[in-house]
Amino acid sequence: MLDPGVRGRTWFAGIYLIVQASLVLTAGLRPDGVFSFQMFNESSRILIALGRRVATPEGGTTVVPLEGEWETTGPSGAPLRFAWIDRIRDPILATIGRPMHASYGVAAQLFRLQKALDDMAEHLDGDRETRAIVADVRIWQNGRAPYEKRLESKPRFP
Amino acid sequence: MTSLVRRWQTEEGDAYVVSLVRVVFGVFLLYSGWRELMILLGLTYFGDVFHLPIIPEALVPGRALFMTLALAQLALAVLIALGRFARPSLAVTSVVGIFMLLCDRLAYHNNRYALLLFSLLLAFTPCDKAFVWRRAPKTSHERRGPLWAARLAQAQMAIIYLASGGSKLLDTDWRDGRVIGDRLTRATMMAIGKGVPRALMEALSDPAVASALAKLAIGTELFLTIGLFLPRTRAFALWWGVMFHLTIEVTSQVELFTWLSLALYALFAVPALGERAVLYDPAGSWGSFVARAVRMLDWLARFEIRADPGAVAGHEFVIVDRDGTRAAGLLGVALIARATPLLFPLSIPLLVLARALSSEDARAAAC
Repeated sequence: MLDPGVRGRTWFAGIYLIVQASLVLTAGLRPDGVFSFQMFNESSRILIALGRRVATPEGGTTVVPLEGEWETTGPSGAPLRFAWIDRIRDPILATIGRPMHASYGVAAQLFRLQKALDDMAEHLDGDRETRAIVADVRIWQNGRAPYEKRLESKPRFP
Repeated sequence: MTSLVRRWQTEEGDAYVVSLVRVVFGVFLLYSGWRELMILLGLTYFGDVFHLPIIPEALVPGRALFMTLALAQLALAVLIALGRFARPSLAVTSVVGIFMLLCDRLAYHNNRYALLLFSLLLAFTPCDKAFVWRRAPKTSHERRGPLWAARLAQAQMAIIYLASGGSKLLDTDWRDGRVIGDRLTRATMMAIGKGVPRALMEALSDPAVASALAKLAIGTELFLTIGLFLPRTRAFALWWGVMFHLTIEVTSQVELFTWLSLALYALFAVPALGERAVLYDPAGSWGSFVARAVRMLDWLARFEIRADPGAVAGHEFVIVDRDGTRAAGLLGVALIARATPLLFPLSIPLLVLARALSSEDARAAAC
């Protein structure tokens, strides 16, 4: 199998090159450009500030800033503690309140952060207060003046 | 074009160099596997916390199986380095490694992916014909094998340069120097803090300098895409590529990518061995030293080393290049550097210096 004949070599090389070329040419379809060898594509930085969307007495909702941890009352009345790093261990996404290099670019990190927010929101068993996890991201795109973008997890309940 | 394809399909050559590259890859894979194992042992298993699989979640293995795969990768890396079952081990490690990459895109790194791709391609080369543990060395004739996959690995290298350089070329921020400029600006603050002269760092972070550096980086990657394949430009392209990768190594964190690229550059060497010669006068201390040094540094077996006082014509040593050119003195040292990996970065400066000086020695040596 590792010693194909001339015909086998040609097929292997043809398929290999087509796959590699396709992965490179379709890089734009993947926010983090995996498998496309876009080295050092950005020098951007991001700073993540976290919050929880909770209900207000007036019937609306508001976002309460977080340092990465929070406490709520569980169904039994006992306090429940949650922390962002309980689930999120990626060194960039887990860093709150400090600028970090946006490895593989801002789009890659925002894509991953959105998924991380959704994941965190799905793993808050017993938390009856948090309606969503919110991230306010300050972005320095390749050294430009910063701008902010808000990402929010899927709502946990209406 | 047809003859080029036919030649690629049927080319055979000495597998010495590709076997040496395999040994180096074994070490890389060992390092990579060890790092993976340490991560698994030291932290929460990625599958138990937030991760982003590219394959369906159901296919992501549990901790025990993933650990088994990591251990298997380590064992395979040892076999690859030793040359025992090296080719099947390369193929399996590549497939398993890519599967492991697909389990979590947060752990994806271009250099890790590249290592696995090149491992797969090496599996199709006759890379087990030399440097095999406890196996007697084979003759050059016995080491011969098909080199089509080694050429494919060269093409993969070109794809990487083209993808990287092309994406930068299409990106305005990269073209204008904004990306490099920002990196330099931030490095400037750190460097000044470490005592580097402010004036030097300010000059480097000047937007005009950043813009020039960006164009140089893009031009370099695009040049390497082609330059490595043209006989007339290959030696310079290899040297420029070595400089490029070493610069990246000292300014960025790219894990194994620098060493991976430099190891693969060996595949651009002509497969035939001993096509150059070092002739030296054993009575001369300098000639003997050069001969000893070349024996130690000639990892790609480019030179035949011969004590031949009659052939050195009054010099302590003479280098006979592949085309029959004879050189002594600084020019001879430059030709040695051009064919020895460790001295290779010095080859172009030495060559330029030897020619610029046009010393009596260099002129007399060009017999």
